[in-house]
Amino acid sequence: MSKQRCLLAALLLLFMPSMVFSQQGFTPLKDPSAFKKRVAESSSKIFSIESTFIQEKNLSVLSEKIISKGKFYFRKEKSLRWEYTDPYKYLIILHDDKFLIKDEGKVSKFDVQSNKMFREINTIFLGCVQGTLLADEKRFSSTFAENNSSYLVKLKPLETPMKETLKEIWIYFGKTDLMVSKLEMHEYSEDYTNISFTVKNINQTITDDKFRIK
Amino acid sequence: MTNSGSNKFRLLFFLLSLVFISGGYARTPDFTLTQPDSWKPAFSSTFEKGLYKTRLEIGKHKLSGMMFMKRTSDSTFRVVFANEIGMTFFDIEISAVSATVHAIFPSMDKPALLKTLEQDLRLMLIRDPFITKIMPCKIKDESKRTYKTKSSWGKATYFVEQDSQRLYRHKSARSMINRTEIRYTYGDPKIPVSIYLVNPTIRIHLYMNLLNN
Repeated sequence: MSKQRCLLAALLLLFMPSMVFSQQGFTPLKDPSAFKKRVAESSSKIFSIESTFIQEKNLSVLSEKIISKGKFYFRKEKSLRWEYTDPYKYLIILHDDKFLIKDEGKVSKFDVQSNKMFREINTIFLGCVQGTLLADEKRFSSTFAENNSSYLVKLKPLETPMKETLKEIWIYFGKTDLMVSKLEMHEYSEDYTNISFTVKNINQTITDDKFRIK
Repeated sequence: MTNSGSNKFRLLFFLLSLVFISGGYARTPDFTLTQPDSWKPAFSSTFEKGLYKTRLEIGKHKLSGMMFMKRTSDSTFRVVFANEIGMTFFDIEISAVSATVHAIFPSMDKPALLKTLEQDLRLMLIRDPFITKIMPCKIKDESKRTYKTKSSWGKATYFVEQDSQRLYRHKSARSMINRTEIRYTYGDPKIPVSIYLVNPTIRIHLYMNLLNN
């Protein structure tokens, strides 16, 4: 009996990743290296992104969602504007290794490298946009999958403090443009936050004033 | 022992017995005590859920985000506080007698802080069911009423609007150093549109503004 149980457990462990992926229509990717190379090539051609986004914080046990909306701007190399417009205005700017937050008219300024949490947020946001997160094997273990329309990369943080707060980060890439279409941050409590990028403008001029707070 | 000495001893024994009996009575929470109708709690029994823009300051640390509060049963509430990008600071389930921490940000995972947060959130959300004594107090403003209470939660003062019977301010002293004050303002909804909580000893300041319910 115990041998049968061991065999069953071994089979479950063996097929678990493909079972989890297939539940959402995803099957494991055959050649992750080729995919990473294509993403890196595609990212190298992108100089700017302007997009709208919808963020949903899913409170699984409560069957509730907290929805936020806003605009997202990225300009190479490290400039990012994350602007929430709904349910209230809240602005995050990453520029020149500085982290600026504007909330209720008050501006706070932080040095990205001096603050662990901001450093991690910086890693996630810029790493997703530039595709560098996929190649960061020191900080993340990764699994790759695909379905008809998307690639899915599941990243498991290996270093503290990120691994203490996030169980996994799921990044969805569109198959047609190889750009991030959705980002999911999964917590240990089964709650997760997904950020869907909707209308996107690629390689349009984004002026410096978007990365300044007036 | 003389007669007068014996009487004095009996009197002392009687008085001491009275002190112990009344003290023991006061310390035991009366679970069946009928609740006072003198004021309406900030969150009434019909409250289901609410989302607040929130700023929490603990000493020099400042956290901002959204706090979601939901009634999960007649006597329990779930409170989830997450930052703007969705990372959970804490997720606590609270009743009048217990609290369960479902999630906590590592840097906030400190027993003393959790205990204080639990007590302060309980004070805000749940009507004290252990009140053993209520004393109305006289104040100059006739549109307001004040009540001092004693309970196993500690001593408290409730400041109430006379007409609406709504609680607009609440001071609680769980001990000499563990004190909390909460101020509520109301708008159209029947739940507070803004809340300010201060715990001067632990240096907690909580600012909440209603987004939707």
